[in-house]
Amino acid sequence: MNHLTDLQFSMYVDGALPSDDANDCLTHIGECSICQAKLAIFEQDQQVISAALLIGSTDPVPKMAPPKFKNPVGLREFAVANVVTGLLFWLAQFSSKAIFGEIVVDGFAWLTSFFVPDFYDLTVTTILFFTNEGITMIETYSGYIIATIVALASTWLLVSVYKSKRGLSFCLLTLLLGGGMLMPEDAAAIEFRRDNLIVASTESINDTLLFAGESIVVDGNIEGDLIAFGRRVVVTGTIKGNLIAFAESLSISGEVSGTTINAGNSVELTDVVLHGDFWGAGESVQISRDSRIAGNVTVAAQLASIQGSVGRDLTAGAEAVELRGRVGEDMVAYAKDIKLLGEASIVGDLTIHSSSEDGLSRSSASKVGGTVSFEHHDDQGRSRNKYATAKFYGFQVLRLAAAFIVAYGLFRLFPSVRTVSLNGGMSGFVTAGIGLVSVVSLPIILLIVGMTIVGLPITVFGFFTWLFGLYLAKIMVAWLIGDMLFNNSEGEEKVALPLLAGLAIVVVAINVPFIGGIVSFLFTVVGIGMLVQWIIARYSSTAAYR
Amino acid sequence: MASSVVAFEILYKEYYVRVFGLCRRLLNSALLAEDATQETFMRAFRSFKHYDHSQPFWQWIASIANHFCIDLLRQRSRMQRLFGDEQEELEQVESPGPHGVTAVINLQDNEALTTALTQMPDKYRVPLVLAYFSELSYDQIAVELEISRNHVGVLLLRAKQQLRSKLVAQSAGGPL
Repeated sequence: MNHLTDLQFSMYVDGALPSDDANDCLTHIGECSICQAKLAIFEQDQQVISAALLIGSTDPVPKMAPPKFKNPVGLREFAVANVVTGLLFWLAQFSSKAIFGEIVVDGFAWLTSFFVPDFYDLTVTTILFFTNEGITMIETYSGYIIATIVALASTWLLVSVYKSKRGLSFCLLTLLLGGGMLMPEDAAAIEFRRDNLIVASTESINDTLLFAGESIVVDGNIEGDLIAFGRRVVVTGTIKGNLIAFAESLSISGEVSGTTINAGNSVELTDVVLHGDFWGAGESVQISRDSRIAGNVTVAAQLASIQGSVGRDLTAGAEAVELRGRVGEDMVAYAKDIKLLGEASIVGDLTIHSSSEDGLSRSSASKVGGTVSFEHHDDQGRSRNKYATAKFYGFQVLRLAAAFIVAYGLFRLFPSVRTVSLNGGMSGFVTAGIGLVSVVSLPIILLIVGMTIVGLPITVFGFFTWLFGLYLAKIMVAWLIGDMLFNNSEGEEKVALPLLAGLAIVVVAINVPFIGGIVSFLFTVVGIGMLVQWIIARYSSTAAYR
Repeated sequence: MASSVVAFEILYKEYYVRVFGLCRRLLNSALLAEDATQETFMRAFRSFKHYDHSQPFWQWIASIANHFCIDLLRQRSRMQRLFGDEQEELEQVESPGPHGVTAVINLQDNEALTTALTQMPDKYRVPLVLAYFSELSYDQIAVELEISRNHVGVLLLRAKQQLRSKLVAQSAGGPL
């Protein structure tokens, strides 16, 4: 045998040679003084290196700061925590509504489907809150905002004089902005009122009127447009411009020269004269017998009752459409039931988009000048099962793929995000609670911050962060589930499979009929809670032992 | 459940210094090693119920620390071929001088060896630490680093040679 190579020596002293090779080497070394000398060197090297590594470095060992060891949660605890949190939340909403007549958080009223508040009522209340409180906030803070801007601009001016022209121009721009805010309010061309509004029959407003209030009654004339948001809107006067009204209850019986756009729980047009088009949406939209609408009428409602006359086309999308009046041109109806009552008359064609021709009932005196045609829509099929469409599954696959790409990229860029966890026991509920508070409170805080002009960029940034957080929340839950399923917590490189499995489970869970919405909500809340806790823990633990 | 937390806290106190030492050696940074140590213990706690008590605790936690630190090094280098090519490494093998490491430094002069170790590239330092600190076999190192067994042998040989040449340069007062 030749002399041993360096690799053989190295492996021999490390005990890494296969036994046959090791025996050959041993035999040769016993006969060769050169190799014996070399072997001694390698053996000494090994001892010294081992000792040096074990004795340790000259760096001081940082002070021990044991992290909070909490027992990880299993799938069962995770499921129980979710269900219990959901039930508790639902119970709170339910009890609060039953005892005090109000739900705890309006935004989540859909969770307690027994008490879904009226959509229009909710919208009106929200708009009223922001118009009233928002403006009060701006008024309250305006002094502070202007003072801040002026102070900032002055400081900037001092600094930029010494630094750069670019800074100077920015400073001038800021000063201009501050000056702009000091402009008198009267410069605004729109009249804006916040109380209850009554425009008496003798009163005339030569301007556009934008109004948000509990009750709006317009008997007089408005030369411009009327834009009104309120709980109750009654218009009996004359509007020379357009009428745009959004209210819980809307009653129009005046004259409108422009376009009329109305949305409300109940929209009633009584003896109205509309020279332009009419767009109406609500649970019920009723146009009385003596009403005259010169333009087109488009209605979306549960019940659409048209007894007056329509100058041009009538398009109605409703559960039930009743026509007793006259339609000057064509009528298109998307409805289950269409009734042509009394002397209803359609000069042009009648096109009905419906699942069956049985939905049309006509009185003997009704007339259709053109043709009556049916466009069949498989409503039942459509409403019966969205799961039967390929589009639905295509979308879900896309959704899963997008979430996977986002999560995979995130985990690669920030591997420590993978350590996010949901702790067991009461801590699980705390996580859900933190998530709920974060989901609800952050937009409110951002809105309040946004009321100050200075805080507007923070609001915009915060809002997008919030949206991204909402998106990430379910991904985090998916990762947690995948991690638990594959028992991946020892930190192996295996990210893809658990992530994919977790995402698949989440996508399926949030699409389960009836409870998918609640599951999605719970996952979001828990996911946000986990993210928030992870961020807090990360910063606090870093601070603790650094 | 509470007892497992208490038991783990005891293990934490007992093995903290050793795990930190391992992470420090693998990552070559005290700051990163602090984070890695905490992370190692957190991961160990989460999978503590799967720990086979017949196996020495050190082996188990060292394997978690090894995984985590090697992951970090891979991410830091942003390339999969962190440990180079076996053939290329083999071609760079130099014949050792007449004396070994012991001839160059005094056994008590541990600091010189530590300094030389910290100056070694990851691809040599990591196998060395896994072999002599974590006490892993060639096969285990090969699995850990996702390279062949022979490649491990070559890397370790190169590591020893480089360590030797650095120490020679150091003892001669020249640049390392």
